Amino acid sequence: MTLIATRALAATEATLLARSGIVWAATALTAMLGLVWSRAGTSTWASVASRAGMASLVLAGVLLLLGHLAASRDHRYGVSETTASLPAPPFRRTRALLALLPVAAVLGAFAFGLQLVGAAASQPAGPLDPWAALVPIVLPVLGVAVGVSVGRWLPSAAAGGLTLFATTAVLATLPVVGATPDALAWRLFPVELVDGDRSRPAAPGWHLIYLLAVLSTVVAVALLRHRRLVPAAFVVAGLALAVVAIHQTAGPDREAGTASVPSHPVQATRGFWGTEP
Amino acid sequence: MITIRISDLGKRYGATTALDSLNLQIGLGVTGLLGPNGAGKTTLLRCLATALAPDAGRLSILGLDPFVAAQRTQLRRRLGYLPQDPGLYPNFTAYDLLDYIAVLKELTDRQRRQAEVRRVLAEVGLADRAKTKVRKLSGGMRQRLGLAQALLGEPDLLILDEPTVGLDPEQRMLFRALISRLGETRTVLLSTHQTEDVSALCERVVVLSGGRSVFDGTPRELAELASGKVWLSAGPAPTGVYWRNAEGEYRTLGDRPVQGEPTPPSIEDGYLTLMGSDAAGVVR
Repeated sequence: MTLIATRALAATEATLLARSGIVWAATALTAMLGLVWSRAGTSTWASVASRAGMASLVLAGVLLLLGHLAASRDHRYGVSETTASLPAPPFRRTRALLALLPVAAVLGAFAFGLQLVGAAASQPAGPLDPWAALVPIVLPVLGVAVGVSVGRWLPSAAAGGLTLFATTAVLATLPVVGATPDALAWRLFPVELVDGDRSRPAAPGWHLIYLLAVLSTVVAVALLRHRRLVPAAFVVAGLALAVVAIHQTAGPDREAGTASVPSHPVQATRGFWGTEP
Repeated sequence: MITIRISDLGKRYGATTALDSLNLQIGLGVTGLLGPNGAGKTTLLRCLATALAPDAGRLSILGLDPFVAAQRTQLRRRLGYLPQDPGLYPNFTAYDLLDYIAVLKELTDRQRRQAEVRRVLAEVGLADRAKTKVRKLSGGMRQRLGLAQALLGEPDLLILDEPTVGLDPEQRMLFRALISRLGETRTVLLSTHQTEDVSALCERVVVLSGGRSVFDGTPRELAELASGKVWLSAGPAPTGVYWRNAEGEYRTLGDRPVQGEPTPPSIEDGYLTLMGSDAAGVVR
């Protein structure tokens, strides 16, 4: 009964998100931004993927807000007393909210797919790294996971917007704080910037592992709200993996670190941040 | 048939005692809860709806012990609860809201759930508002929608906290018809300040004061507490509670006024007599 009930609730949550007009507008905006940025820069598949990753941050931001709204719905509208008397326990409701993650992945893939189709017309050079291609799909998933997690811990209406503001501020600061592309702050940025004079040879495999580790940590933090032991273990494991992955993206160790995962170097040409070489 | 057994139930909010070793037994049919503000009615209903854990005492509801987690979940599958302020999600349509609550009530079969949502919408007279957003519904319609969510799944126990607030006379009549029909086969417990609802609906009435039960009987028995104390007269009474009615006569609860004629007491008279000077002071 529990599994069936969780599935039914997950399907309802996923449907509610997929029916949101805002989410489709954000998906269209993401695709459009990715296309516009791709045409402004070097025509390589690596730069297309990188710019798609940057554009997907828009979708991730919107999904963060929507994830928070979904997770904090009861609190914001004073429905907590009604739902407290229903058989679905809070843990099941959080698990059902995780159904928003695959929806976010589909939206991210859809937006990226549109960008690929649009970019294909200009016949970009080089290969399209599959690990780098997954970043524009994973980032919206990460966005909605952060929203759900914050919504479960901080259900006040302002928390979602404040989290988005804080996240945006931190992300905007990372490349500025990082003195060189090999600096830790630079490597923590969720998208590997592959062109521009501040770009660095990419390690997309480890970078993706870093993102997935952060994602699993965020999901575990959401589940930790219900005082379970397993999510606590996942938080620790996720953080440890993220540290290892970020370490592997560092310059001196990268060659050894990427031996087991695919990566490919990308030529630096015109700058994404508007800095010409 | 007794469906709810309450033994020495206690609940405190800091220094305030909301329920003070309350003992009560409630059976099938419609039972009304009366009492002044702060008497513990809402706290009692919250505890019975498993939305609030009591501090002390024992509860048996539909033969289940809500202090045991597994039995609490079983109980939640069999109860419908309308809180005093049900909230409701303003951006959902009436249909979507009920569908969502139905999923939370573990009505997992989609077709059965859709049929159930349509049924309760029709029960509360909102079938034509299924696609209307909650924020666009009037206060009375929202109250009916709140009642509809409580009716989902045909619960064996209905707990309704001030369900007639915001309803117009026609809606109130429809509500009474619905509740009295439901009360034929299940336990309905409703808290209200409307003594007309109690006299029209309830087979039994419990009056709470200071977290304790101070009366437990039929509405007629409650009214009879004021027997021989209600008078109609041409002039105001020197003592007691009185007011001028539509015919220009003074209706007095208390000692006989000059040329006072006895008149049958209402539940309100019985309630005021029971509650004594505090309630009388409010009325006067």
